[in-house]
Amino acid sequence: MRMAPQRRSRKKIPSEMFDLAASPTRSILTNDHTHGEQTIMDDAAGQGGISDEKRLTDFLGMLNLAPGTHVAPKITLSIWTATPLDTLHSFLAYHTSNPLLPHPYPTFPLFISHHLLAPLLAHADLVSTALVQLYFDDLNFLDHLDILHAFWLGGDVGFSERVSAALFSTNISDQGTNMGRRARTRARMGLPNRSQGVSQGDGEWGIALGVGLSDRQRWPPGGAELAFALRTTLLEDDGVQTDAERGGQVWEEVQDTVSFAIRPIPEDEDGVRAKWLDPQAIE
Amino acid sequence: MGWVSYLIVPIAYELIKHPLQDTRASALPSRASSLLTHLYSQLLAQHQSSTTSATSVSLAYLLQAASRPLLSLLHAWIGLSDIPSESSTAMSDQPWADLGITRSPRKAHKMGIEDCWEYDFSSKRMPAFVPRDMRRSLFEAGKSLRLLREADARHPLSAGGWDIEGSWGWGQDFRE
Repeated sequence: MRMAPQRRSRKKIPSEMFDLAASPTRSILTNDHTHGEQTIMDDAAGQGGISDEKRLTDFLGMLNLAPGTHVAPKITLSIWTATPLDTLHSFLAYHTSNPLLPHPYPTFPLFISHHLLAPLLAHADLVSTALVQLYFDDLNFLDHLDILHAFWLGGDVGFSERVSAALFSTNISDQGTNMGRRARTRARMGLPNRSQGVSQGDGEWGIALGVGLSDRQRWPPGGAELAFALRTTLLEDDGVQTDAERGGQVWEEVQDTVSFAIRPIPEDEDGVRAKWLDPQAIE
Repeated sequence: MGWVSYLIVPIAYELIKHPLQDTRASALPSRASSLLTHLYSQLLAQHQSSTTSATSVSLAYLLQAASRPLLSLLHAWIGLSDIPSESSTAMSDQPWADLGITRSPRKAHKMGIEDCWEYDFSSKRMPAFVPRDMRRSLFEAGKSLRLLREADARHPLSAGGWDIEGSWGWGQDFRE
């Protein structure tokens, strides 16, 4: 920005030279940025008797200065800098009158913790608090803990009831495809269904995971039915949210984050796990 | 000021671990924090006997000058200033070793972040003038800062360079 006006002023010189007599010298001053030049021109204008030629030569002489010399240097460069011994001597002189440990902190530990390390400790507190805030406010840490408690630790009563009904109920689903061996025999023999004695609330959930109801030799029975039924336990059927704190982003995404995983254990005929898989065995 | 140097001579011998009675000198500690600990203990000892003697003031001067690099390293760890070598990803580079903080590269997940470090701290490697109960909190703050930077780069605390400095502050008048 500084270069362009000077270039403009240089181009304008011929016309302004001729206009010097007519126009006030202030019009030239508008192109200058520094006070030094202004004072020169002010002096020239103030005297009034100075010829235009002198003003012109002054102006042209100013243009011939080396770049940067018109700016008054703020830092005085000196050849002599303080040697370390000098700084030591000034330090010693200073501290013969002023004590090393100022009055509020008469011992070194106090001085260090309150004067030297004070900004560091304050900043450390700030940073740690900011991280904790990140977890609690931005990342909804408490909601995550609530979900863990609800699903993994049996905090949600409805969910745990549904899962236990699914796993251990003796009822059979209405579709009839999962009827176990005994139920089928009962049906063939025309005996009443055993489920009638049990409360009706469980009727929808039994998927014949219970022992003895399935004609498969291994437990648990695999298949998509199982996965589907387990997944449905995660949902709330009636859609009524009894707890007020189940709002927020984390709870809305709970369907994506919480799910059952059914992992096939590798076939191992002689291993320990093989014994689980036999529903009829008692260990 | 020749008499000043005369007074300082026995202390200087003590300082370089060559007691006047012995004929042999023991080695000065080589680790930066141990050296500072040595200086600091000498200063404490001298200061107990007389607070304004030239010896204790000179020791304070030495301590102030010598602890400047370590203090700036500590500032950079906390996040009050920046040092450029922190982001070097060389495996064996330990920029925080003087503070007793070592780092080892954490195995990068599939996301391919290379700058994951695990920090380990040894409290006794910090110089003695840092009080013991503050050492771990300073370390944890640095760790939290790095985690915060990873989590949210736009957080105002993630950027360094706050122009706040903790220093001994001795001889303030003569320093501009």
